[in-house]
Amino acid sequence: MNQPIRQGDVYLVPVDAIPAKITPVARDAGRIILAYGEVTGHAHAITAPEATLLSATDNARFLRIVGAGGATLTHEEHGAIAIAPGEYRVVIGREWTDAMSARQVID
Amino acid sequence: MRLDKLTPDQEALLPVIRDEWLAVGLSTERADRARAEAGVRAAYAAAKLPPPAIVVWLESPLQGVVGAEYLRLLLDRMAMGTGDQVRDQVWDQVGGQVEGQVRDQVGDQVRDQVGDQVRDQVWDQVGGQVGDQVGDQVGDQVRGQVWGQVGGQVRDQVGDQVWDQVRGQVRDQVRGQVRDQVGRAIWGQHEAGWLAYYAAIARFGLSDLTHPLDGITEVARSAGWWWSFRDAVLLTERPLRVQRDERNRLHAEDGPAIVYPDGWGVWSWHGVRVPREIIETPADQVTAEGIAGESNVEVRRVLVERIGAERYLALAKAKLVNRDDWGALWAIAAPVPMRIVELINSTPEPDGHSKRYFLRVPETRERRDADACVGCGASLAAVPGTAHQAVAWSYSSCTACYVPVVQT
Repeated sequence: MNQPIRQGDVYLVPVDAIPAKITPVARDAGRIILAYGEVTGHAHAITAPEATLLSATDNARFLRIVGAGGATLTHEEHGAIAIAPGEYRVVIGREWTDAMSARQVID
Repeated sequence: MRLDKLTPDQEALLPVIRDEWLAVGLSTERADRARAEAGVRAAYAAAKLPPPAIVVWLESPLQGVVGAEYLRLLLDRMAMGTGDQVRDQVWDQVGGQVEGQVRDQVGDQVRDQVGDQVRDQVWDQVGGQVGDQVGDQVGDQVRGQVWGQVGGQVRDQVGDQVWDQVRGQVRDQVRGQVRDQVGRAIWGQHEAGWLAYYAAIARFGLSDLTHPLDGITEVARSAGWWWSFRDAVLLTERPLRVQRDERNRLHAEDGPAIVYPDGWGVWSWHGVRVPREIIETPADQVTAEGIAGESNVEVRRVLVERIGAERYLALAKAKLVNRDDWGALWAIAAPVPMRIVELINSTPEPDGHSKRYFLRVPETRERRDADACVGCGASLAAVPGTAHQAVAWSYSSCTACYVPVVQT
């Protein structure tokens, strides 16, 4: 089993299988963008053609990397990370908000 | 002639040319208008276009973006000429032609040497750190303001039901047109990176090949961003001030890091663009409420860094719940009871200090939605009791599953 990987806000969790109902997400100018920095315009990005970003029906996102060489995850202000071939759940860091609490009414 | 190897004298010139172009890119002198306008005429001539009849000067890239769209519509409507924009001819075609010819005459070794030591270094400092930030700020601001006003007007006219249907189209069109004018700008001084490359190649004997770039090079040496039309040109001023940190990122602690003569500028903290008040609110007027109310984690970090993390913890009346290898978990009392986890960035800054982030985590057991670990499906601790549980929660994981081995 591959190891989980974290780069800033982005956390990649290896999974045994990804859902059957899934659609590929189009690249942005040739790159897979896992997350954009809202403020800096920086991005957690992958360019390797071996990588595909997939979206499941519940909006969960998965990353599939085929071939032997793997792919590299880059970001302007973090070190680059090698991602081994395999399948990963893409998790973006979150914060608690009042809206997550059952005490709050959302309109 | 071909350029396959630089002489020692030529090599010694590389840092000189680099510094000369850094000075161009970061210049805060008033525009040399006569020289810039002569450059425009030469650039049009290189593109086999007659010189533009109308010359307009404005004071900042923001004025330029708005002015360019206004000028385009005006030229089209008033029969003064045509609003056709000629950036492709003046810029892309001439640039592409020179690029091709130079490539044929310059050996790989020289290309890499001049590329690494001149072009890339100038680009990183000027285009990457300043030009991109200016462009992003203009884009965000015009998009936000224009969309806010045009959107509101259309909504008033069509009513809510129609609005829901056309909203997306209107937004895309407004954004598209504004983005077009950001994209059609020629960055003037902020193009210093690649122009420095051709300036070096010219000085090493290939000026016959780079000659068509002389016009746009002159504009870059004497003005800020500009827009080219078949019948008009719109030029803008250079900034009054550009302030940077030791890593050459835009940074100012007392006002805008870059500001133009009309007062428009970019507020930036070590390269992170932030709203003006984040920089200019006096430190003793920053409140725990203001920090808690900032929803953007990066902007919040800047605010905390400005006043100091210890002062923030004191303002928030923080009590330490737990400290472990992952960070510190705090229970704070102000402005309202919350739990926050303090994380230290795993990639330290070159000066040795590490960014400290404060993230809010659950303080209550009551949930709107079930919260399960993305790794194993187990329920997550309702109220994290350790920093490890808290950081794992922020990545929707239980502590057993949240064990990233590769972490930068």
